[in-house]
Amino acid sequence: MPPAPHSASALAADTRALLAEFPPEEVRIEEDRFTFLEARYDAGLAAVHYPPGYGGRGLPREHQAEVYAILAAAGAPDNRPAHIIVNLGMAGPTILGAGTTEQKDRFMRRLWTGRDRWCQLFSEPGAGSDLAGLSTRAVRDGDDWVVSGQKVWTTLAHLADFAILLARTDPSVPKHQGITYFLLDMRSAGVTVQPLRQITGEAEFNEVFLDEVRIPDAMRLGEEGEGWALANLTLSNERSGSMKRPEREGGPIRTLLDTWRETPVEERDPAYRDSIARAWVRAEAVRLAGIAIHRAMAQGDPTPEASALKLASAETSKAIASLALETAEAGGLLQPDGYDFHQPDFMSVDITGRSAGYAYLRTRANSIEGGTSEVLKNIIAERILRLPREPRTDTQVPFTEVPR
Amino acid sequence: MRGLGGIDAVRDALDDLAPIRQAHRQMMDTMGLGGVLAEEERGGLGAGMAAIVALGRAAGAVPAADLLGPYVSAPVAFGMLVVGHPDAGVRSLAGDTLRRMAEGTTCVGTVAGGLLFDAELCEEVLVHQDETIHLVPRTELELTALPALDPTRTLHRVTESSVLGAGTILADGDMAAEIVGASIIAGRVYLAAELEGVARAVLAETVTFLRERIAFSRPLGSFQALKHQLAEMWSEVSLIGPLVDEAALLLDTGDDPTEAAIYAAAALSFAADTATRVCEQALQLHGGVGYTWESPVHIWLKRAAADRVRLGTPHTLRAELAALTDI
Repeated sequence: MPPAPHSASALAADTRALLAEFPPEEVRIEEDRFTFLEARYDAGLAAVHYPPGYGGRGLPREHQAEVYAILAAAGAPDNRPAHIIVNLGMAGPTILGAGTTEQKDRFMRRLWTGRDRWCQLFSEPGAGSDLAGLSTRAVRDGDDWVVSGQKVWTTLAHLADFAILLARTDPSVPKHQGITYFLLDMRSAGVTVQPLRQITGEAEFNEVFLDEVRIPDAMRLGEEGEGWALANLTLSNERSGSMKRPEREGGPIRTLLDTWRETPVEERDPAYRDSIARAWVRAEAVRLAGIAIHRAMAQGDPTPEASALKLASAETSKAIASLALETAEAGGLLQPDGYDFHQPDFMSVDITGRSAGYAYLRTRANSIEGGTSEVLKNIIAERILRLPREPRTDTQVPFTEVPR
Repeated sequence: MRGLGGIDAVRDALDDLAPIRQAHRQMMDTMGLGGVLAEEERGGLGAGMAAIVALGRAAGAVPAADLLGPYVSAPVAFGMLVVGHPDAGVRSLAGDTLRRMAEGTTCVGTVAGGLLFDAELCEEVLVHQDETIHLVPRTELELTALPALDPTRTLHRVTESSVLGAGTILADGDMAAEIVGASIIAGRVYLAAELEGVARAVLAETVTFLRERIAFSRPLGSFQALKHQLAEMWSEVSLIGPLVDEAALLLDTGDDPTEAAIYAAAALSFAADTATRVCEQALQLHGGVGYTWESPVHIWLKRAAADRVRLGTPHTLRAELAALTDI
C-alpha cells in the first residue's frame, strides 16, 4: 500500500496514476471491476475523508469531487452506490467510527468495493419510531452471543452477506442502556429472510427472523450497552448519506413536467399552471437546500439540519408525485409498472423517470423510511429549536417494566 | 438595528416612528450602505447582491425604514445609467448621485405605480411614469398621504402631473424599460431576503414565547401539537435562503439574465407565501397575546403582507416563472 499523502494536491496525480495502472477500458467482467475498485481503495482514493489505510486520506469530504471528476471523465467503473446504500451510508461509517482494528481490516475494503453487501437489522414489528423499544434478545454463552427475535424493513437482506444488528443484552436497565450493536454473518444458522411486499407490488424490503443465531463476541461493535449511541451514529449517516447532489427537475417533478410539456402551451389547463409552478419552486428550494447542506457537511459531521431537510424533501416529493398522478396519462388511472411481485436488487430511492403511478405509490414511503416526518419534527423542535421534551415515562425505568 | 433598540423600540414607537426611521437611515448612511451596489471607483463598496441579501435579512428582523428604494432600486438604476446612457451629462449626473448616495449625503426614493415609501426621508425621487424615468426633487412632488397597512413606513401617492417638468428626464423607451426591469429583479431578491429575515425573527420570538409560557403546568413548547407546528415552520423558513442565495449569485455573476429572473421570482414567491403564513401561525401560537398591539408579532405580519404585494404577488410571480420555464 502506498503511503497516503495528507495533501489534497497529490489527489489528481494519484488518480491519474491509478488510471494508468488500471485502464478502465480493460475492465470487462465483474472481477475486473472489483480489481479496479480494490486498487482505488488501496490508493486512498475510495473516499478521501476515510482514514489512511481504509480507503481514504483523512481529507475533508469536499476533495472527493476532484477524484470523482477525473474517474468519471476516464469512464472508470464505480462501486454502484445505489446497490450498496447500507454499506456506504450506515455500516461503513459506523465500523470506521467504532470498530476494532481487526473489524476494520476485515470488513472495510470488501464493504466499500461492494464484494460484501450489508443490510441493517434495526426496526422490529414492535419497534419503529420507538427503536429503543426493540426486543430482539442477545444472551451471552461462552465466547458467543445467542440471538433471537424478528426484524423488519430490511432492505436487500435477501442479497446481503452481513448485517448491522441491534439486540437487547440487558433488559434489567432502562431501554436505551441495554442495547448492544453486533455485526452478523447473514449465512449463520438460524437466519431466515422473507420478502415483505409493499404497496407498489414489489418487495424492496424483507422480514428477517433470528432463531438462536450464534454471533461470536469478536463481532460485537463497541461496548455492551453502547448500541443506542452507535445506532444514532448510523442513522445520522443514513439521513445525510441518502442525499446525493440532485439535478434540476429531477425526481417526481420530472414525471410531472414531462407529461405537462407534452401539451402545447396554449392548450395547457390554466387551472393547473399555478400549482405546477408552485411545485417547481418547492422542488428547487429543496434541491438547493440539499446542495447547501451537502457543502456545509463536506467539512464536518452530520448535523440536525441535514435530518431536518429530509422532512421538507419527503413532504415535497409526496405532494409533487400526487399532482403528477392527477395530471397523468388517462387521468391517473394507470400504473404502467404493474403490480407483479419482484425483488429489485437495489433500492429505488431515486424515482426520476418513473411513471406517475409508481412515483405516487413509492413516495408514500418517503415520510416513513429513514425516520418518519413526525420523528424528524421532534428532532427539529428539540435539537434545533431547543424546545422542552414531552414528559416521558419510559426512559428511567428498567426495560422489563415498560408497557409493550 | 438591534443596537437602536430592536423590535421592542419599534413597537414602543409605532404611533410616531419617524425618529426611529431617521435613526436607522442615519446609521445605514454612516456605514456607507447606500453604496453597497455602487462600484468602488464611485465611492461605493462594490459588494453586490450577496451584501444586499445580508442587509435584507437583518432589516426583516427589525422592520422600520424602507430600504428597497434608496439602497437597491435607485443604485441599480443609476449604476446602469452611469455605464449605459448615451448622454455624457446623464452619465455624469448618475455617477455624482451614486457617489452622494454612498456618502450618505442624499437619499433617493423610487416610485413605481405612483406610490412612494418614506417620502419624508428622501431628498430626491426616481419616478417611472409613462415609460419614462424622471429624477425629481422630493419637494417638487405633490404627495397625498395614504393609510399604510404596514405602520413602520409612510406611504404617499404621487400626483402624476407634478412629475412632469419638475426634474430631469434620465431615460425613456427601451432603456427605461431595461432599467426598471433590472431594478425589479434585484428588488425581488432584496424583498425575498427581507421576508426571510421577517420569518426567522417571528419564528425565533415564538419559540422563546412558547418555551417560557406555562399552561397546564408545563411549558407550552413541550406539547407536541405545538412543537410540530414550530418544526414545520422552521423547515419551511429554512428553504427560503437557498433560493435567495441562488438568485443573488445569478445576479452577481450576471451572465444569464433569464435564469436570474426565474430564481428572483421563485425566491420572492416562496419567501412571501412562507413569511406571511409563518407570521399568521406565529400570531395563532401566541394566543390572545398575539392579537394585541403590545405583541411585536403584528409588526412582522404587516411587513410580510406589504412585501408580499410590492413587486408582484406570489401568484403573478409564479405566472412569470411559468412562462420562463415552459410550465
